[in-house]
Amino acid sequence: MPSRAALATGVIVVAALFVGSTINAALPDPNSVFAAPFEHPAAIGEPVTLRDGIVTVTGLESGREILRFNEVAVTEAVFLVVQLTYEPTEETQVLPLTVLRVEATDGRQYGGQAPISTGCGPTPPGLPIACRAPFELPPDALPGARLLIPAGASTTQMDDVAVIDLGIDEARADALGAATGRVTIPDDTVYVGR
Amino acid sequence: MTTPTAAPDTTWWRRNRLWLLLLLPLLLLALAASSFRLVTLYRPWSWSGRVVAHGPTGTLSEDFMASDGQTYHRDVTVTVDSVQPVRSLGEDAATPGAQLWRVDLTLAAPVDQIVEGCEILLVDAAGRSYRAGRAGKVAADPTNRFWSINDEIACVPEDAPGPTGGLFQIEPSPLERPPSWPVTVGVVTPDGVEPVGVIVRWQMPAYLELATPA
Repeated sequence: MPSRAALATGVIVVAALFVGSTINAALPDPNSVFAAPFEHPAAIGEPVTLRDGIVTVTGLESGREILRFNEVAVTEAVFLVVQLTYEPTEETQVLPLTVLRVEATDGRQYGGQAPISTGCGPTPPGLPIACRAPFELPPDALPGARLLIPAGASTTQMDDVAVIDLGIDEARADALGAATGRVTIPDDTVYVGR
Repeated sequence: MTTPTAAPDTTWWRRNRLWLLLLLPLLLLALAASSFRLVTLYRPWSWSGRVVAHGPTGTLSEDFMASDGQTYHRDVTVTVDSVQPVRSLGEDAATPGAQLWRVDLTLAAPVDQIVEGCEILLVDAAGRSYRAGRAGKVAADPTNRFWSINDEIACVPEDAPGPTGGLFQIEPSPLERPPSWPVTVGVVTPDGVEPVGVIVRWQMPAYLELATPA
C-alpha cells in the first residue's frame, strides 16, 4: 500500500506532465514558425513591395467564361478574375500566376493551373505590366476571400507573401457570383503607361 | 581560512589556457559544420559565381551538367563589341516609356564544347539587370498582326550550333561551328537607364560580367 505522500507525488507528477504536454501542444512548433512566410497584408489598390517586385491588385471581374488566345473555358461555378499590376525591382522576371491562391474564409484555397493559358510577364525592372489572374471557385468562397501572392514558388515557403483583402462583402459576393458573362484576358503583355 | 594565492601561474585564465586557445578553432569548426545548406544548396542554385572581366572581353570557364547527366567543361570568351540605343531591331521595338538597346557580342569557344542556351543581360549602375528576350518589346510596325516573339535567344549559329544537349545524349553539330561568331540581341530597359555592364551566363552558379565598351 503506497503512502499518502507517494500517492500525492504521483498525482503531482502526472498533473505536471499533463500541464506540460498541453502547453507544448498549444505552442506553435518552432520549425513551422521558423519556416512561416512573411505576410504583407494589404487592400485593393495598395502596392505591396515583396522581396523582388511590387504587386498591386487593382480590381475584380467575374463571369462564367474566360477567353484568351481564342480559347474559351466555361465553368458551372464562377471565374473570379483578379486585375493586378506587377513590376520587378531587381531583374527581368515573370509573375507565375499559377502560384497565386485565393483563400476563402474557411481556409479553402483556389488556384493553380487555369483551364486556359495565362501569363504575367516577363517584364524588366521599372516597367510595370497589367495582368489578369483567373480563379475558378464556387460562389460561396467569395465573401471575405483573400488573395495570396508569393515572391517565391509557393505561398507556404519562407518568403514574402502579399495577403490582399479583396474587400468582398455579401452584396459584392452576390453580384460577382451572379455574373454570367465572358471575361477576356488580353493575349499580349499590357504595359502600364508611365 | 585560506587566502587564495595571487601567483599569476594559477589564475583561472592560465589554468584553462589550452581550452581557451582551442575555443576559436572549435567555433570555426562548428560554423563550418553548419554551412551544409550554404555549400550544397544555396551557392550552387543561385548566381553566386560572379566572374568580373574588368573590360569588354572576358572568359568564362566552368564545369556544368548537360541534359545527359554528364559533366562537361566549357571555356567561352565573350567580347562586347557595342551596346547602343536603337529605335527598332528586326521586327521588335520597345514599348512606350522604354528604350531598346542593340547588344553586339562576339563569342569564341572550342568547337567540341556545348555553348547553346545562354542568357544575356544588361546591368545598370544600381545592379538591376535587364534580360534579352521578349520583356518590354512590342511590334516595331503596329499594323503587323503576325508579330510574335520568343523569349529564348540564340547564342550559337543556327546552322552550326556545335554539340547540343538532346534528351539523353549529346547530338553532334550538323556543321562544324566556327571558332568565333557574332551574337546580336535586343534588350529593353525603362527610359533613363544607362547600361554599365553586360552579363552572359549559362548555368548556375557562374556568370561572366563584362564592361560596356567606352
